[in-house]
Amino acid sequence: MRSRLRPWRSGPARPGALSRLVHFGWPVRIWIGLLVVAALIPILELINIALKTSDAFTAHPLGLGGLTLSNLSAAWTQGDYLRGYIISGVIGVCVAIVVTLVASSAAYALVFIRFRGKEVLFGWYMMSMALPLAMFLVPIFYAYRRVGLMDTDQGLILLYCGIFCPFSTLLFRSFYTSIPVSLRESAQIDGASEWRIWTSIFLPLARPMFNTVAALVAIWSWNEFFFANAFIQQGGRQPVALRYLVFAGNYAGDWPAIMAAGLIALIPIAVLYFVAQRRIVEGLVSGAVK
Amino acid sequence: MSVRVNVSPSVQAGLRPPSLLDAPAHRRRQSVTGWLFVAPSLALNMVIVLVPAVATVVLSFTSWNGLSSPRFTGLDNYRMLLADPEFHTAIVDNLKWLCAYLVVPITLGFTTALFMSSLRRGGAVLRTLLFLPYVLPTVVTAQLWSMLLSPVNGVNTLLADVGIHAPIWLGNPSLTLWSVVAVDIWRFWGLVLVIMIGSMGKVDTQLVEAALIDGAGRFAVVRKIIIPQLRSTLALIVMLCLLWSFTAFDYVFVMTQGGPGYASQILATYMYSIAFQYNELGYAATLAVCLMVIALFVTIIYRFLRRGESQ
Repeated sequence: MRSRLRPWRSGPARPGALSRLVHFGWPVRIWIGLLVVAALIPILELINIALKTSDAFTAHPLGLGGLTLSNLSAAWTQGDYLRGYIISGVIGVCVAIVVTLVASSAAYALVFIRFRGKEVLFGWYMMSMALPLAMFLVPIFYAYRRVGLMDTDQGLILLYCGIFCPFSTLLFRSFYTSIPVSLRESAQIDGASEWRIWTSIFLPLARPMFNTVAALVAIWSWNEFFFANAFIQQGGRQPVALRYLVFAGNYAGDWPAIMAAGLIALIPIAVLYFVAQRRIVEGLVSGAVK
Repeated sequence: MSVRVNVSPSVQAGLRPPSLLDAPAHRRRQSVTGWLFVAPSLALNMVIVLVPAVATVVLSFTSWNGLSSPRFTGLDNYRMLLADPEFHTAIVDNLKWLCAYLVVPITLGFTTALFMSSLRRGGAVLRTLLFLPYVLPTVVTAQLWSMLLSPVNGVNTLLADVGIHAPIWLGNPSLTLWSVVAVDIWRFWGLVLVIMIGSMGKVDTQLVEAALIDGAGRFAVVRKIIIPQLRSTLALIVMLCLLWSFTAFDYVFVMTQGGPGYASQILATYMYSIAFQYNELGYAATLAVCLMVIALFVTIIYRFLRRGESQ
């Protein structure tokens, strides 16, 4: 069953589908090659400079040479990135768990269960995806101060869950709509409750979408610094992105140090991306392309 | 569309035939179950989105420094907003940002997706690499580009070696906004690309091949067969570009702080500085409401256009 139901596989369905239309000749190859270079060279430069001695950097900022690991180890201890990793890791995992559960149950109801107010609710979710959420900073800031959620991981987790939920619901929704309704109805006729149907049929079926959404929201919460910057004022509690922002401010001008800290900040994300890239990209696309 | 029979949406949409489960007693119970399933998500949304949105609207009619209690000032903030020259610069800068966002990523994404769907092998690898900048932390890539665009360490040194006297990308008031937009597009266009590739996979290739056999030119095929089939994707991307160009924040915040002067100030960074440097929270809320209105306007237009399309 699972191997046949693969509606989330919506990437480049047939490689070479338009090969009759576009001749993949040298001009096109060069064009795509240039785009790849433009995407990757800056990132390779980041790695290059992160591994460079200051002297080599002053002599030839962008060239090769003067390999060292001391920038990395210095940035690691000075920025206390171990602590940052733990904080951001905990936030990412918690947000991923909460968002996948909450969004998938909401999407299940929005697709399959008939209830009053469903259209309005869905419309509001679409609307809240369009709202510039960063603009609600002020009220949340004061509410958090009042209830003591400032400088806490829980505060950020709650916030990120709320922010990422609408889009994740949309992804799950487009996944569920591709599952045949007959599957649910036969279970219903056998007398299974909605809860039972969701937990024992749809949760296992939606596992690929769980991975997609979990990876996406983990990446987004790792990268987020707008809210973290406002809500975490105590140095020790900073997640990685904010820690890096502060570090770059303190070491302004010392580019090898800043790039080394940047490399530390992006390695977990790069690893997660390369491990889950297929799921991430195709899941994202399946939510957008209907 | 005016069918008023009490059947479930999936029956109405022709997804399934009506069944015994559509009886009224069952429907009532279903309604309760439905709300139970959405309850956690709704609660989250209320706390983080709905209540703050309402609070922002209320605050926009007050004067508040965050310490004393807010003082109701009616429409004063909105009058101030209309007369605020910095707000006008920010709006103009956002419109420039919007133009760049509408032109560059969409053209790049569309042409490259077209090229890549003619590729027999290696498409997945290319897609992974071109999408990479989108997932990396913006704080890190912003610092990276600040360095690359700086006059002493960056690309300018390489250009000087080959005899090109390059401008100061981030320090020149007439260039700085465009430099930051270019960096943001560097990050963002990969997303447009993967969405385009995904929808190109759904284009009816038989139609394309038939047209080519009938002697249609390549550009005519793209214009008359491919673009019409991608219409809904294109509409979605245009909407996303519109929305995201107005909420852009990260790169300006890290790379230029809105400077030099106010040369690269956009709405989001302007709001941030009003709230946290000048502590005028009521006025910042007014700016937030202004952004909310723009976002709602864009989505409503989008939904309206899409509705017309589906009928």
